[in-house]
Amino acid sequence: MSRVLLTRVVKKFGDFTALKSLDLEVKEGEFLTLLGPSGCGKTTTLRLIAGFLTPTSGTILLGDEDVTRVAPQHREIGMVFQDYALFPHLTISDNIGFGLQERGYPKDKIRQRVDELLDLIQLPEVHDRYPSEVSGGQQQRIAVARAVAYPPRVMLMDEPLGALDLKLREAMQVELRRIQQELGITTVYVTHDQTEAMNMSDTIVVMNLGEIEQMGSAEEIYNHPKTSYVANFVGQVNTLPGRLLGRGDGVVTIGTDIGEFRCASQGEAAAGSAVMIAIRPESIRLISGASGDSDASDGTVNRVSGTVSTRRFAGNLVSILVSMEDGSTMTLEDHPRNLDVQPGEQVTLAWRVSESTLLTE
Amino acid sequence: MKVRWELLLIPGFLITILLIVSSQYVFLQGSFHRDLGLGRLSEAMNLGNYFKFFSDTFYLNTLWITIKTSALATLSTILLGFPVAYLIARMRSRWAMILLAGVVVATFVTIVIKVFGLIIIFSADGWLNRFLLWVGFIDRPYTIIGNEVGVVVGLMHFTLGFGVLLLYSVIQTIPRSYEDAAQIHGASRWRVHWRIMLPLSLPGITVGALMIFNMSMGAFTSAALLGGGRVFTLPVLIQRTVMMEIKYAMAGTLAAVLLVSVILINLLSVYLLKRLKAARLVIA
Repeated sequence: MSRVLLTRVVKKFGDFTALKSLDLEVKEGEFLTLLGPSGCGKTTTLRLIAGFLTPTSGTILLGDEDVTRVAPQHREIGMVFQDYALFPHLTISDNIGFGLQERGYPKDKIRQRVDELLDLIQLPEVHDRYPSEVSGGQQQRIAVARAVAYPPRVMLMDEPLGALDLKLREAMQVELRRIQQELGITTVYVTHDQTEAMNMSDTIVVMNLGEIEQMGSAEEIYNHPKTSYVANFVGQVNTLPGRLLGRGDGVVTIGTDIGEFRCASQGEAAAGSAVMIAIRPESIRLISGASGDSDASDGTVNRVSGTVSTRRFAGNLVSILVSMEDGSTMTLEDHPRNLDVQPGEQVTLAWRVSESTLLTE
Repeated sequence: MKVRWELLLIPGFLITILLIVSSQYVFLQGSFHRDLGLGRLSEAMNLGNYFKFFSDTFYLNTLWITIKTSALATLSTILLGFPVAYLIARMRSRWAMILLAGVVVATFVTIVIKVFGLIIIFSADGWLNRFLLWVGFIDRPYTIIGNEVGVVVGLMHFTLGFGVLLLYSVIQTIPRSYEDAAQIHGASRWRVHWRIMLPLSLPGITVGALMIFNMSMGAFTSAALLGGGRVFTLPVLIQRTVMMEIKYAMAGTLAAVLLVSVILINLLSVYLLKRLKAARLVIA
């Protein structure tokens, strides 16, 4: 197990720059997810770590070894592919033992290790079967076992759950996380699915157009997105564009088209600059009528009134769309009993200053 | 009313069957008679021509040369064609399509023109000999025209384009991620080919090799022109027996032997491939 360190890594394909000077550290034993839409550079990053691509410039370290120009087969990496890439002409035992065979392990050692791994992935009876004879979820687990068989310095996973249906995908998220933690393997995971990223990762790296937008734990990324791109990519968000009017103790005042709001901010945006307030739909509460007044007006809560335009029932929660006086809309989500309103009703929306975030772009 | 389009298959089907069956019937039937000279055949039927074929070393040698040159040409075509097909199949740029188009176009240039190209290059006073003499690599002209090497080269030239196309379609069906997976888990490029590409492409290679072999066994033009009248393969000998000696019965016998040997060799190959599949050494 090792950390992975990418320093000022640039990758160009002809005229196209896939990665613009990437700096990234994956700590030892960490589960790090590269999250972003297709074309953001996440798969390129993974293939650079694997050694299938060579950076145009910059260095890649595994542990303390510079592997920038080392061939994939000498990097001691395990990898799980999107299509699993299990060898169809080899038995499941031979698939799992592939890396050990290629590195000249003796036969009895290989057999012992394969048994161990089949126990780990809870598929003990499949030795002599072929990949086509087991289910998709089982193939997935076998691919993981193959990747960790020769203890890798780092494990790479390229959207490994993309081909599974929703129920199985959720079960596999738990399973992958369990295996990763049991073995304590440094893992780099690539996905475009934000739920998957949040369910599994120690650290999430949100990427966009070949650059890192933000890096942090799931909670940091969700609760304190730095850019509107991150806020929108990870979950749903309401954004209110406006101008920064004044700055207080960790709180700023922003003037928008629908009123002045206070917002938590540690940033250094200057007064007068264009900013955005981000509020998650579930952070907004509903106060029925035009002027509900249960909260004391001590400046810790923002309020704005509007008209309910649509109501969508989704079982465990309801989301409603509220039109503001300037024609913009805000979405809020809550338990059905807290959102017992009908389209056309006048309502007041309220949210805590601490639950809104200031975005600078 | 429902139009029964499948009826349109019938004319083409009938013509194909008629042409194949009738010609095969005529030469097979002819092979059981005796040549009386000037193209006349005996009334009585016997196996005399076959006895003659299998007791005469000249005929047996012709069969052997045909199989040998075809097998060598097939082997060389696969060995030379695989790297080309592999590169084109794995290429990501639009050059792949351009190269493939080049192969297709070259394949469908008529073999007569291609063979004359070879003769110009390889003849005793051709470019190659002049160059080799000038460099001092050889001290007298060496030519492949009129010997078996020439026939193999000619057959290869005839089949290489088909070989590349066939192998390209085989390699394309093998996901690149198999190679990536093998490599990242410790296999060198060479081991990737040995453990992954070869077993996965072997069934396709076998089918391609059989097609190339069959084309070579029946090839007349390149064998005749590059053999220069000195190397006799069965197709060359058949042409000679019909046109020069006017022995239709013997020509029919030669054709029957050629047909049966090709069928036997194909059946044998398919059988061997099945054995390999049963042993799970390769997969379909």
